Amino acid sequence: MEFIDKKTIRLDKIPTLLDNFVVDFTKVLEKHAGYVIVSGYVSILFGRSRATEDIDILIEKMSKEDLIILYSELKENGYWCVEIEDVNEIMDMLLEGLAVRFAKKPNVIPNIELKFVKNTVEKDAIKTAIDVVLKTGKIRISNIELQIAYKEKVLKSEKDMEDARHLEGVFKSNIDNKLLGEYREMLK
Amino acid sequence: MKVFDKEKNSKQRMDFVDTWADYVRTHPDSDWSRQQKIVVDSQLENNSKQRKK
Repeated sequence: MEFIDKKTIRLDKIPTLLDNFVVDFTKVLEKHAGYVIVSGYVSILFGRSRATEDIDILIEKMSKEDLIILYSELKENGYWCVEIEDVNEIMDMLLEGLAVRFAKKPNVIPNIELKFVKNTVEKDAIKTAIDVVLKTGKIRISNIELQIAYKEKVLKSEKDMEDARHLEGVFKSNIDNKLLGEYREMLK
Repeated sequence: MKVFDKEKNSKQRMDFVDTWADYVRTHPDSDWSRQQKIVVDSQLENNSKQRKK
């Protein structure tokens, strides 16, 4: 693991099935929307010894026309929306602040839980995202300090506390403690 | 008799998280990721098989 600069990490890991799934999906997504990967997968990407069935991705709000184009390209690449098929209903769900799940056909898991950003913390996650360069491609994740604080102060389950602790341990010497403190204060 | 001590179990789990995070930080990516891949891929494959049953 190497910090190329403040916003880019090179990770020479042997990719898991989950890593490959995420890289393939975001190769399509990045052409259509600004995005950031948040929550459990971020810890797993950096070595947590567990899997997950869903990968949470926040995207910038987009028009229905743009969503139609994105959805069409996802389908061309073998993805399907697990809950609903109609793009109008997908748009309605996203606008209501709900997540829609995309998996590789005919599977249901693993899946991507896609959501529109809805508050300042989520908008900040996109704005301050960092790139992770893997052997198979580049993905965008939430900055580590925000991930740690969000898991500790908002999500708080045992699994989330362990994820936060893992990230804190792995990034011990690279964490911006001032920024982490600010996020902890803001989210408490 | 206390059969399961939740608090002790949580502490042990957290201790292991610390140990593994130290390992990840101090070893080459190829080393820890080879081990992680076995855990992650097998969990995914098992979950997938369970769902298909």
